[in-house]
Amino acid sequence: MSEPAQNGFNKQENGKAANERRHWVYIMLLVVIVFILLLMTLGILALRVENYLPEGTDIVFVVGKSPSVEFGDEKGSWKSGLDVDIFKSYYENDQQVVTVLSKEGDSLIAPGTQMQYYFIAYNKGNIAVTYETDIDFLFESAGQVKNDFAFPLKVRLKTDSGKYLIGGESEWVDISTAKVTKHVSVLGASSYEGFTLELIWAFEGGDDALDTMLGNMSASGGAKITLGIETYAEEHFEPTAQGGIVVEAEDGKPVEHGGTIRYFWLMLLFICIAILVFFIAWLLNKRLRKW
Amino acid sequence: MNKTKNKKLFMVVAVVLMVALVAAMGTITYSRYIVSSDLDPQQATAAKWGLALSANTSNFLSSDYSGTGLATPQAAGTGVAVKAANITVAPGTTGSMTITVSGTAEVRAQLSLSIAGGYTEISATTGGTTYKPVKWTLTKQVGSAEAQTLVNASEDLSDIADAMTSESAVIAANTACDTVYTLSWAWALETGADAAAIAANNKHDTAIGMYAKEANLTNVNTATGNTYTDIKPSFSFTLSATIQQIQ
Repeated sequence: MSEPAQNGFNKQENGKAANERRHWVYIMLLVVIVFILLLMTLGILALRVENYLPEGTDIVFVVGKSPSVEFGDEKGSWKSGLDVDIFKSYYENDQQVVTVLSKEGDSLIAPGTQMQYYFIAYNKGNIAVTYETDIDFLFESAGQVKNDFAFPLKVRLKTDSGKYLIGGESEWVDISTAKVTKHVSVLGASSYEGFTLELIWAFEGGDDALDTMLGNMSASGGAKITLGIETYAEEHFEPTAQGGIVVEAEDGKPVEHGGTIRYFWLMLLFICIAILVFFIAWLLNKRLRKW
Repeated sequence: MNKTKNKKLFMVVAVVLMVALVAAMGTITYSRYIVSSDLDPQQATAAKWGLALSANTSNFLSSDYSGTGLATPQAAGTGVAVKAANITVAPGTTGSMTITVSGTAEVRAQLSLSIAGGYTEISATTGGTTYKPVKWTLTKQVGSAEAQTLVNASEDLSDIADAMTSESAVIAANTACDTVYTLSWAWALETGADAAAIAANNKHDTAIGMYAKEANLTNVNTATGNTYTDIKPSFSFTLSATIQQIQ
C-alpha cells in the first residue's frame, strides 16, 4: 500500500476510533445519569415504603419512625376504671367549712363548686403529632338524657405554657359550647404538654331559679351529669414540627426525628457511587484506548 | 455491538427512572399512626336542695274579725312572707299561725326569720301609760320533741321580732330539718291583778273598741272618762322567713 493510501487508511481508522470513544462517553454519561436518578428514586421510595414497615425500621439513610403518644394524669395513663376525682362528695369554703356534703357519699356538683383536673399528653415518639382534645358532656334528668338543657356549668382548658384552648384568663365558656368545638394542637417529638381543666358552677350565676330547680330536681327524680375528655392523635405531616415542652434525652443528644434523612450517610453513599462510576469510566476508557 | 440499540436502551431506562422519580415525589404521604385515648366518663349529681318553708295561717284569724287585710303566705318554698295588715280583733279572742322548716339539703343553708320593717300593736295610751291588751307567744318544736317556749305572753311584738332574729341560723349541709315555729296571740276577756285593775283594763278595752268603730278620741274620752292621747285599734306586721344556700 502506498504512503498516501496508508495515511488515508490511518485517518479513516482514527476517525472510527474517535467515533467509538464519543459513543462510549455518551454511554458513561447515561450510566452516571441513570445512577443518580436511581439513587434519588430509591431514597424517595424509601420514605414512602417506610410507612408500611414496622416502626423504628431504618431504611439505609432514612430514620425509622417510632410514634408513641400517651394521655394520663398523676395516677397513670388513662385506662378503663381509673378513678380521677374530678368531682367530690364534699366541698369546703376558704374557712374549711363544709359547704356541700353528699348524703350517700357520691360525687356532687352544686352552685359555688369549682373543680380542677390536671392531665398530660406525652409524645414519647420521634415524630411530631397533631392531637385533638375534646370535651364530652351529658345531662340526665330522672334517667332521661336532655340534650338541649342548658346546664349552668362553665369550663376552661389551659396548657402549662399558659395558652387557653377553651376560654381565657377571665373568660369561662358554657359547657354546651365547649363540647361542640374542636381543640387541635401540635406536640413535637419527645415532648409533653400539661393541661388544666377547670369547671365551675357559679354561686351567683344570675339564675337562682334554675339552680333551685336543679336542686329540687335532684331531690325528687335525679339530676346527673357525665363529663368526658376525648383525645385523638395522628402523625404530623412534618415529623420535625414543634409543640409542647421538649423532654431532654438522658445523653443530652437532640432527638433524631423519624422519617428524616441522615444526610451524612447520604453524602457518603453519593461519594461511593461517584467513585464506582469513575472507576467504571476509567475501565471503559482503557478499553477504548486498546481499540 | 449495536450502538444505536444500546443508546436507545439506556435512553428508555433513563426515561423510566425519571417517570418513577416524578411519581415517587408526587406520591401523597398519609398519616399512618393514629391513636385515641379517652378519660373514663366522670359522673356527678346535682346536690339535692330539699329544704322547704311553709306557713299555715288558717287559725290566725277568724272570718268574724274585721280588717283590711288578712295574714296570708305570700310565697312558698324557699321563702314566705306573712302579711298582717290592720287586723282588728276583740277581747276574748285568740289565734295562731305556724312556720315550718323541713327537708334535707346537701348544701349549707341560712335560715332567716324576721319581722321586717315597722309594725303596730293594739294599744291605748292615757296618763303616760300604754295599755297593750294582745299578748304574743312564740314556741319552737323540733321533730317530735316537746315544744320550747321562746317568748311567753309578751305584750310587746318587739320581743317576737327579737326572738325571730335569734332563730336565724346556719343549717349545715346534710342536716335534716323538721322545725315548727308557732306564733300565737291572745286578747283575754279580762286582765288585771285585782278588781280595780280589771275594771280599768275593761275601760281601756272599751275605748279601743269605740275608737275602732269611730276614730274620735274626744268622744272616746267623754264616754270613758279617761284622757286617751293615742289609741291604736289594730295590729299589723310582716313576718318574713327565707332559706337559701350559702357558701
